[in-house]
Amino acid sequence: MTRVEPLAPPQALLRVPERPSVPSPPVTNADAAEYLLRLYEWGLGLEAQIRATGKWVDEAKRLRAAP
Amino acid sequence: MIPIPITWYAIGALALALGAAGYVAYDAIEDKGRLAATIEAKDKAIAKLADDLKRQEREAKVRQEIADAADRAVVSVDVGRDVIRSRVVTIIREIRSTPDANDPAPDSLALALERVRQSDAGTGDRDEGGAAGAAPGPPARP
Repeated sequence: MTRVEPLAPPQALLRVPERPSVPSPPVTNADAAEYLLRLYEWGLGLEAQIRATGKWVDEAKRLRAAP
Repeated sequence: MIPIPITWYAIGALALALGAAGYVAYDAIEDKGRLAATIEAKDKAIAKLADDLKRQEREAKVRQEIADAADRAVVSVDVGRDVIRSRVVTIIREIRSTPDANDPAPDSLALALERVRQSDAGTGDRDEGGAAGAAPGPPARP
């Protein structure tokens, strides 16, 4: 079994992107809808980031444990 | 005085020659043994070095494979984000072209956004340390 010291995940996977800022009043329908969509985009991106990090950790563990 | 027979001289010379030959042979055998031991030690050192090199190569390979996997993960996240972003931009364009896009948002929505904005501006509501425990699952889509 090859032992390699743990490697930190790349910063790109750890960095949480900036959350969209709430529109300042007066708020129009389009502003509100855009905020909602940006929030949705941010959330999906975060979810993808978490999934990719988990997948990478699993793969790194598998590679380290390989004979 | 009794004379020493000549054969004794011959026997003595032969014994000396045998002793000398034995000593030389013994020394040669000793040298060979020491040489063999030295060679064996060196062989062991070389084998250990080869093992170390092999292990280091393997570790470097694993490290590289882990780094490659990390690069792939970063790329997959970036690609996914780009896809979502382009989709959202398209939807925003559609929304901006609707007739009531520039109408003021309903009071309830404006109030909700205002409260969220105030919450973001404050310092006590964020729980960045995670003291409140795990977040609940996302609400179901309407």
